[in-house]
Amino acid sequence: MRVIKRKLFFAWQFEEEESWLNEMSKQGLHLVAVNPLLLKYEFEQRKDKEYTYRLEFLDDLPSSRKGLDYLQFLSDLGVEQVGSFMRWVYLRKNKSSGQFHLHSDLSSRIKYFKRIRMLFIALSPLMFINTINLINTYLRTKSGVIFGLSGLTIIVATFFVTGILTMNSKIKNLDKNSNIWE
Amino acid sequence: MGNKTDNSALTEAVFYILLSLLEPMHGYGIIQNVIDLTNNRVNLAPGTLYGALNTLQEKDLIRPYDTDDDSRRKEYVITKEGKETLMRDLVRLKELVKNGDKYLGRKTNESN
Repeated sequence: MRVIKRKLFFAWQFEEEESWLNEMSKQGLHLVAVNPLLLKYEFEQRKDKEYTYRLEFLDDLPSSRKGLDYLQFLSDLGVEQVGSFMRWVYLRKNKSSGQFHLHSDLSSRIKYFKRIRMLFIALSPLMFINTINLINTYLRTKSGVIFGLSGLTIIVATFFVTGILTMNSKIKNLDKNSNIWE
Repeated sequence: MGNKTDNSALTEAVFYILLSLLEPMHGYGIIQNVIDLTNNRVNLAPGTLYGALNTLQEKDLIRPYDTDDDSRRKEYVITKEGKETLMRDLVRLKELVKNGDKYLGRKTNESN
């Protein structure tokens, strides 16, 4: 049986999203398809299985040569892909085969977090330029539509800043440990 | 040689990957071998292993190993440079153990 749930996670809440998916799997609902843009998660209901879900942020698109090479490597290790969204992939592994993490040492986890931070950093200037342009246009035209659009871009820009700050604090925590451990 | 200096330490994951690749192996084989060698203590995560294999290949410490059968799983094997790197690190580790034993052993004796 298929069950559809709708839930909103921001891009920096990938760890919360993982926990939620793992909790659902514990209850017998296993993610089989996802569309984060529509906040749509599709689950298969089965009591006889349990999976560990992980999100990974790739260097390239999942359909690129490098992306496919990595996903093939994972699949040889029993890790299957259930969905993707831009450079995010949703992965799972049968829980009976033991613990499943994608990154087992600090430097590999730090790199992972830095990849995610780069996404926000790369998109931020675009949003700020848009916002400034829209505000300028509004001041000239006093158009209500432009006013609305400026508001929207300010909200999105705020999201990006939040993303950068959240990732910064995660990276800083790991960096501190990496002075002592690997 | 890569651009790392002679006396820098290998990470534990890389040490065990290189050690495993004295014989040709694919990813799954490496993970299993390291689990066996360390009695389940070190369980290499797929993303970490993949990143390490790519970097080791870039630095010519390992190379792909071509087999006759057309299995799609890629196998790797250590290179001459890889072996030299591993030996150098082993000397470093032996020194570490020797000094650790000497100092901690002495401390333990004193407190007894």
